[in-house]
Amino acid sequence: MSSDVNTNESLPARADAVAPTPETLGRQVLQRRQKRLRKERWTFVGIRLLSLLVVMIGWQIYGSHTIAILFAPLTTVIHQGYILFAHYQLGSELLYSIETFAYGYVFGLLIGIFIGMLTGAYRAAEAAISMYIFALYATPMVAIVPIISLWVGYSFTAQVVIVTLFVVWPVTVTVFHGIQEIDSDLMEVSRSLRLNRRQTWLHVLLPGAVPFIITGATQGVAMGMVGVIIAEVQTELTGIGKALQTEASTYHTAGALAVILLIMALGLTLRALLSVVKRWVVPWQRLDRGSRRA
Amino acid sequence: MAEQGDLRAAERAGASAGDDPGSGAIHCRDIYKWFGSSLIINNLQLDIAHKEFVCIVGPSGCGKTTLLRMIAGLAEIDSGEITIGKQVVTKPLPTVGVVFQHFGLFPWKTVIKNVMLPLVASGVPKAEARARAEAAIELVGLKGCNDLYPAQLSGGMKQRAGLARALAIQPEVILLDEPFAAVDAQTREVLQEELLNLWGRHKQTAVFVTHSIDEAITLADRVVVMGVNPGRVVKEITIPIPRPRTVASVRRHEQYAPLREEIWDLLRVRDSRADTKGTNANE
Repeated sequence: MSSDVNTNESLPARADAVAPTPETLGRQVLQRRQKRLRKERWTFVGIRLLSLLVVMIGWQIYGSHTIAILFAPLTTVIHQGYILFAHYQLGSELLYSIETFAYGYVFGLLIGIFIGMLTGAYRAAEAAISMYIFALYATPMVAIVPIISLWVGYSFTAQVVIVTLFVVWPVTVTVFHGIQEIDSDLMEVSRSLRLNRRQTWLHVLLPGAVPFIITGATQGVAMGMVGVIIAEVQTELTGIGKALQTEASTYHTAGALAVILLIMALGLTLRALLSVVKRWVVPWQRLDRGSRRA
Repeated sequence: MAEQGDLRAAERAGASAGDDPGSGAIHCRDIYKWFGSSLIINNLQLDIAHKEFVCIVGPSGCGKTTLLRMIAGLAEIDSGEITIGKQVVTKPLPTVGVVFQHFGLFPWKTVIKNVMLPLVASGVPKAEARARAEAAIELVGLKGCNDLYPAQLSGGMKQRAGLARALAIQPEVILLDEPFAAVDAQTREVLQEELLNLWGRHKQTAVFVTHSIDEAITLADRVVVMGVNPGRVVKEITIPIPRPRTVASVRRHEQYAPLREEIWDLLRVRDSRADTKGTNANE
């Protein structure tokens, strides 16, 4: 058995080593690749930290030379953030917003995955409802917010509905395209292997859709964050939306900036979480990527 | 028609598979196939005996892959009938294993899971499916690669996994669609050698589509040469080279050069005609 493991490194025992090698060879290759990736990762971490430092210093200097109503130095912003947390319940406002987001996001994700898969897999479903999906996807959801308020009111429920509406369309569209793009060759293989409908879903469509679901979920995070802030500002003033509005309308620019930083941090955290989830649920995708970008 | 098929299926299930000398025989009767309005296969007749190894060669667009896909139950037969054993092919049959040119492995499944899939899907208990899959993987020389993903395999190894998956169901018939076209020349010869070896030990009816005349002579009991515009059988050539064969022993055989020349001439005639007419048929 020739040891033809895919790799770009030169391997000492490559040639056509027979029987026992593929396993050990495979392990060696993996180890080497992981080592190289680790090294690359740390290089990029370094670059990132450096860039962050430059921006922070720039912010500090610029902030110190403008009037406080327009901008504030980073230290002031952080201090203001601390004050908001310590004395103005920013923590509980944040939790409230996170709860709104979580409900809306999960509903949006589930509904989006469901509709996306249904329309992606069944042409009848596509013919019946894809036009509405694309119409709604193309509509800025902000336009619908007042109507939602009319229907559901200004409560927590209304806010969740709004977030759901922000999340659901990008997820639906991504999953829809993803299912359609699952290799038609693989669909033929499924037929040849005599998989029934349930087995085709279980072994082919669902796992094939996972990377697209993750992509949709990542887009959904950004849209969901937009949804939360809009919902909180446009309906009942609550959560971080309220904090933001209060600070900005009273010219506490440093405070407003602190809240914005907080929202950013929240979004980044969620995206980072998702990329961890992705590595965990899509193990086959990280294997063949030797990170060939310069 | 469907009822008749069911009846035959019931008959087939009654007979003990494998022992029946006719269970792996393939008969293609009056086959026609159109792509759009162009006739791709014109009144094709082909009989393949139980446990015979047949290679189909032909120029691009002659419909050889289409023919294989029809035998596999993956392409519609516009007119005519294909039977495998006593069953009329209307959809993929459980007694048929297919090896694809593009390997057809599921990237999210490890080698062992890929090979187990058709077994599990047909209701084989998991432990038995695993044992049989492991045996098939060992048979094709992939021992130790059970838990690797396709992305971790080279082309040659991928096709070994594809072959293992086709063999794991212990088919009566194995259909191979240019299985070695996507691997490099050396690997290709190694795989041919292994296939010869494997088939020598576990015979089943094999239909192997290829572009390569050498490959066809090396592997086949009989080479079916197809012509283009429209696709049809031009000639069937029995390969008298005795088994067991190796790639080298075939090349050395006195019949090798004349056979190669004969097939080459048949193909060249068809090919030049195809070139002048131009072929839009997408294989």
